[in-house]
Amino acid sequence: MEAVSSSQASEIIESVSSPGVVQDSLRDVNAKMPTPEELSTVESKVATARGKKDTGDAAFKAGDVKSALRSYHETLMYLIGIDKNALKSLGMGMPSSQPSTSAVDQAAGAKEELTEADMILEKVYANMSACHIKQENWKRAVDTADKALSKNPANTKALFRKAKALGELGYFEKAEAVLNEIKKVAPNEAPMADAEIARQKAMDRERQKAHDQKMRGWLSREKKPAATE
Amino acid sequence: MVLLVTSDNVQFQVDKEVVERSVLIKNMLEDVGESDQSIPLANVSSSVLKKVIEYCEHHRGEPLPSADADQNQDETRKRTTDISEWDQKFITVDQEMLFEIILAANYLDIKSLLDVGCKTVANMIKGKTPEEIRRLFNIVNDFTPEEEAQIKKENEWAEDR
Repeated sequence: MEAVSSSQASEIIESVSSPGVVQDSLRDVNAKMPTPEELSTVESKVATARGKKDTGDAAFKAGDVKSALRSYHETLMYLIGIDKNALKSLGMGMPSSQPSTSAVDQAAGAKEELTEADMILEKVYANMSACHIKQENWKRAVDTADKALSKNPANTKALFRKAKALGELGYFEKAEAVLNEIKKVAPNEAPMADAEIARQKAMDRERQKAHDQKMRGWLSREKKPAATE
Repeated sequence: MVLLVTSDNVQFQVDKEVVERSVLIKNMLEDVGESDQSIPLANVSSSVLKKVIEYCEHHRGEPLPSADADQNQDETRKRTTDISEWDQKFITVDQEMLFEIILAANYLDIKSLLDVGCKTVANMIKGKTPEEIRRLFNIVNDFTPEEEAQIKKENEWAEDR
């Protein structure tokens, strides 16, 4: 447990880094140099965004999906289009270590420059997808899950949500491909993925059956036996 | 009416139809509905938002490019550098403002405005020598003479003769 608490401590230190530290890390930024004022606004934007995300998480837990979505949207307003140069020179280039599945770690290693803003965006989009699923707004659930996956293709929660929403929309094949992807990036989630595939297959069969029945009704005059597959 | 607040804390009252040219805001309004609460646009200043709203007012009611727009249509949209007369006049601003508008269009997700901005920059670059382009954008030449000679040689085929 000690490792966890020390990483939390380092996160706190990072987010309140003193001006001196900021100046120091500025030296190796050769792109457009952000001014100290720009740095502090970027820092406070990330802090505000973090706060909004927490508010959204709390609302979601309390079952208030609409408030959660509002807070999450506001988080986006603060983080999208934020000055990346300033983020990097703030030492927010690499997020502090945090509990994550092995797949997430792999993906983080594979991608070069994930800023803290990207990390928050990934989680917010994944959570928004959960909100949309609660509201059975399947299309937006897919959209937002895709946004999370553009930040981290191995986000298993986002993959699951995308697969579920696709299945509900009737795109069973696409959903199955996503679920197979989960098995690849997170083998320990394979049983869950298989269960979802089975659930969707059953759903698909039901749908097929209902469809066949309808067709049979139409074709009944020809007295054709139903095609056996 | 939708209430927007800019990074420098200026409030704007804008018609829903106008503000929905921004996909960022449109998605939010669709998800949470309209309310009295303002929308914080943390990464746009009031001087830039004023311009952006002017653009959205002029183009209100025009169809938005759909998310899954036709690939072919997307290609032609990207390849032409034509800008309509009104847009041309609108985008005749100093360079600083031009780049601010591009950043805002990207942030707010207003595809057509982003296109106008980027095409304008493309037109600024077109037909200029590397030295002229450097002067235009304040770019310091950090190639060694050897590197520069090498690049010139590699791109000889593209030179006008």
